[in-house]
Amino acid sequence: MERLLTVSGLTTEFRTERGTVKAVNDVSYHVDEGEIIGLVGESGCGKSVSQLSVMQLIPNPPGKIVAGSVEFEGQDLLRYGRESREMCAIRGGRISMVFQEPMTSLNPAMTICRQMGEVLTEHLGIDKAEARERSVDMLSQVGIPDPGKRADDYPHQLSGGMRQRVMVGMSMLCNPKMIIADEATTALDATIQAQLLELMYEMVNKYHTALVMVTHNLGIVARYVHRVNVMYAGRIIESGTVRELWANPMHPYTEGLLKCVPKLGERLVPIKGMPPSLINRPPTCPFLPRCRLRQKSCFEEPVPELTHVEGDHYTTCRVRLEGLTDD
Amino acid sequence: MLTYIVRRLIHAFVVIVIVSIAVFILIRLLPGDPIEMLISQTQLTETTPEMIEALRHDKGLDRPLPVQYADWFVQMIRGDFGTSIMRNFDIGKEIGNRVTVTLMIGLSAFVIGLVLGPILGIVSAVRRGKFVDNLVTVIANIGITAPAFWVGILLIFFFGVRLKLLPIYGYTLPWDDFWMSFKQSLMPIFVTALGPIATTARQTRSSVLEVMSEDYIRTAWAKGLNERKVILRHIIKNSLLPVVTLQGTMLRMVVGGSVVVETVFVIPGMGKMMVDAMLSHDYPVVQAVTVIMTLVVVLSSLIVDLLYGWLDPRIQYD
Amino acid sequence: MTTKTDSINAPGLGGEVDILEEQLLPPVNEFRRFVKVFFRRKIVLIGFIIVVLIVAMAIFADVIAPFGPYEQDLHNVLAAPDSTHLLGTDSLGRDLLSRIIYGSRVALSVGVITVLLSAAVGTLIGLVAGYAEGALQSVIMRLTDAMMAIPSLILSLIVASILNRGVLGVVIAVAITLFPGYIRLINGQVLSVKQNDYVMAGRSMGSHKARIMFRHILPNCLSPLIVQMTMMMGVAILSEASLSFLGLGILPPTAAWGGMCYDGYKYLMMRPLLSIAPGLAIMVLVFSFNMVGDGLRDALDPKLRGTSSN
Repeated sequence: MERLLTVSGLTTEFRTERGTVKAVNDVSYHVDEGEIIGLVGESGCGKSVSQLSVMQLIPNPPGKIVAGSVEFEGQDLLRYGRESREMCAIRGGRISMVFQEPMTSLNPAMTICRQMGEVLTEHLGIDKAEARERSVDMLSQVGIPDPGKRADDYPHQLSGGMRQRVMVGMSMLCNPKMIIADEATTALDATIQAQLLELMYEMVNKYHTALVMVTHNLGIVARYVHRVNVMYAGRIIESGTVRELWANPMHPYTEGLLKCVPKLGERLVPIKGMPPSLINRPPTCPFLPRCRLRQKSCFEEPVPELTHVEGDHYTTCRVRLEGLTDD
Repeated sequence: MLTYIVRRLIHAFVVIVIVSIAVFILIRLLPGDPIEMLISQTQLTETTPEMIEALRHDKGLDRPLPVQYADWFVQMIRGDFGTSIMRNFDIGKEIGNRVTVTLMIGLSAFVIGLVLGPILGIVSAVRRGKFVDNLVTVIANIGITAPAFWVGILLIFFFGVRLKLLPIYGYTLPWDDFWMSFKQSLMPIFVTALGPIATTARQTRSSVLEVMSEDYIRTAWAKGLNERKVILRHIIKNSLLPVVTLQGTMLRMVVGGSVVVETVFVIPGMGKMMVDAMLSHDYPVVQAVTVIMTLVVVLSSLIVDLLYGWLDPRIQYD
Repeated sequence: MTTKTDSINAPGLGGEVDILEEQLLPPVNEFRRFVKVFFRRKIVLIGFIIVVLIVAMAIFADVIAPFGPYEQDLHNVLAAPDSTHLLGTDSLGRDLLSRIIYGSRVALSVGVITVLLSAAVGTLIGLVAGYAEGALQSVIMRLTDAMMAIPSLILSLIVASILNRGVLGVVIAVAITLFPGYIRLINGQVLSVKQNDYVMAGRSMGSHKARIMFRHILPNCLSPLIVQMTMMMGVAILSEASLSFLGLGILPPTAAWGGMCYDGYKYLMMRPLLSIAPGLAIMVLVFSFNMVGDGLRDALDPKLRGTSSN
C-alpha cells in the first residue's frame, strides 16, 4: 500500500491564562492509502487537536503548531501558510473533515444544497447547476430521503443524524484521499451512530478513501479500523493493529481502556485517577501518577520513544519494554 | 407570514394606544395651568373669570379626561392634531413642516450608522488587535461615552468658530439652497450618527468575533474556502442578525437625539419643537410630537423584525 | 454540575477546542481569579482608578476645591485661566475648576441613586413577571415593550417637567427610562434559570414559590444584574447631563456638568473652556464606568465573555 500521510514530531501548544499547554506533544503516525485507522483516547488527550493541526485549523492565537512535519502525498503541509492557496486546495479537496457537532457544524443561514455546492464550485470549478445536481446525488447516496427537496432545506429543519449524513456527504463530494472523522458519531443516538458508521465505512471502501477515526469508543475501533493509535496526555503511547492490541496490550493505559469496553459477563474496571495537567509537564511518562506498574526508575527516566515490539505494534511503556516486571 | 404581520401590526397599535394614554395622563400632571400661562403670555390685561372659562371651553379643557382623550385620539387618527394652546398654530401642519427637517437629518444619520457601523465592526473584528481595530475601538468608545451636545459644541467651536468652515447654526432645506443645506447638515448629521455608528460597530465587532468561533465557520475553513469567502459568505450574514435587532434601538436613539442636536444647532425640527413646547407647557404639542415619535419608532421596529425574519431562516412565523 | 470545560475560543481559523479544566488547571481561589480577570486589561484598571479618584473628589470636594461652587467674584467675570482660577471663571465670576469638582457630586449621586432605584423596581417587577407566567407576565411584558418604545430622552423630558426640578425629580425621570431594561433582563434570566434542575427539584419538593424565587432564582441573576447596573451608571449620568443641558434637569445655580455646558455654550466664542471642560468631565466619568462594567462582565459572567467588545 502507498504511504499517504506521514506525521512526525507534531507538537501543538496553546497559550492560556495559566501557562502554555502542550496539547499535542511529539506525535508521529502514518496513514496508508485507503486505510482506516483509529485514534483513541480520553477527552482532552489531544486527539482532536492533532487532527486540527494536520488540517491547520487550529485557532491562532491561542494555538500554535510549534514543531513537526505533516507530509501528505509528498508535500510538507506545514510549509504552507494556514491561509495559503495550497492549504485551501487541500482542505476539502484532498483531505476533508467531519466534525463532532452535527447540530452546530452547518451554517444555519444557508441551505444544505448551497453549503454542499460550495465545496464543489470551490475545488472543481463547476457551475452552480451542476454542483446542485451532484449535491443532490450525494444526498441520496448518504441515505437522505427525498434529496431533491431536502437540498433546499435549512439545517434546522433536519435531525442531528440527518445533518451528520449531510456532513459525511459533503466530505465525500470532491472524492478526497483522506477523511478525518473527529468523533463524528459521538453526539448521536446509539442506533443512528451505528447506521452512520456503517455508511462511512461503505463510502470510504467504495471510493478507496483513507479514514482517520478519532474516538474514545474502543468498540467502534474494534469493528472498523485496521490500526489503532492510543493517545494519552498529548502523546501517542501505543499503536498497533487491532488484533495485536486486543491480544497483547503492552501499555497499562491501553489495558485499562480495554477493560472499560463492556463485554458480556465481565466487570468494567475504571482507570483510577484523572489525566494530568498539560502545563509544564515533566519529560517522564504522563501516565505515571495513575500507573499500577510504575517502577522507581520511571520517575527518573524520560518516557521512551514509541518502540517496536512486534509486527505493527509499538509502545512507550519502559516497564514492559525492558521487562522490569513479570506481570 | 401574513398573519404574523397582522399580529405585529395589532401589537404595534396596542403599543401606540398605551403610549398615548400614558403620555396623555402624564401631560395632565404637568405643573402650570396652560390657560393662565396663555393669558399671562398674551398679556391680556383685563381678564374676567368668564373669559377664562370661555377660553377653557374653547380649548376643550373643561370636559372629563376620558372624553378629552378619546376625542384627541380619534382626531389624531383622522390626521387632526389640534391647535397649539400657546401660539394657535395647527399642530398637524407644523409637525408636517418640521418632520421633514428632522427626518432629513435623522434618516441621513441613521443610514450612515447602518452602513458605517457594520463596516467598521467587521473590519475591526477581522483585523483584531491591529491598528484599525484599536482606532475603531477608540472611536466607538468616544461615540458611546461623549454627550451629544458636547460633541456638537466641540464641532461648532473648531469648524465654525475657529476654522470658519461651516455655519454654526440653523437649517435650510436642500431644495431651497442645496449647498447651504449641505454645509448646515454636516455637523448635526455627524453628531446624530455618532451614537448609532459607535453602538453598531461595537455590536458588530463582538458579534463577528462570536460567529468566528462557531463550529460552522470551522466547517467553512475545512471546506478549503479562503478568508475572503469565509467572511463574505459565512460570517457576515450570521453576525448581522443581532445587529439588525439593534437598529430599532438606534432609531430610538436618533429620534431622541434630535431633541439635543436641534437645540445645540438651533434647527427648527420636531426635537426643538418638543423642547420649546415643554418649556412653555404647550400640552397638545408635546402629546402630538411624542405620539408621532413613538409611531416612527414602533413602525420601524416592526420593519426591523420582519427583516430579521427574512435574514434568519430559523424564525418561524406561526 | 457537570464537568467544567475551559473553552479556548478564538477567531481566525474557527473552532473551539475543549480541554478539560481539571486536567489543565489547578483549583484557583475564586476571588483571586476575579481580581486577575478584572484587572487583566489595562484600560479597565485605568477606568477603575479614575472612578475611585472621582468618587474621592466628590467626597472631599470641600477640601480639594479652591473656591466654593457659588462663590462669585463679580470683578473677575469670564476670566481667562490663570494661577488663581486654573480654568478661568464663568459669567458670574465663579471658579470653573471648583464648580467642576462640585459637579461630580451631582453626577455621581444622580447616577448611583438612579441605578439603585431602577434596578430595585425593575428586578422586583421582572421577578414577578418571570415567575407569574401566563396573563400577568404578558401584560407586564407588553407594558415594558410600550415603555421601551418611547425614545428614552423624550420620556425623561416629560417626566422631568412634571416633577420638581432637583436631584429627586431628575432621578425619577431617568430611572423611569432604565427600569424596563431590568424587567427584560430579569424576566429572561428567570425563564432560563427556571428550567434548571435544582429549581425543578425545589418545586417538586414543595418549596414555596416566593422562597424559590429569592433563594434560588435571585442569586443566579446577580452577576448579570451587577454588570447591567455598572453599564447603566454611564447611561444615567449621560441622561442627567442631557436633561440639565436642555434646562429640564438640575437647575442653576447648582453645579451640574450638563447645565454648566449650556451656560458656557453662550460664551463659546470667548471662553470655550466654559462649555468644553464640563463636557470632558462627563465623558471621562462615563467612559470609566463603562470600562469597569466591561471588566466586571469579563470577570463575573463567563457566558458573556465572547460579547465583550475589546
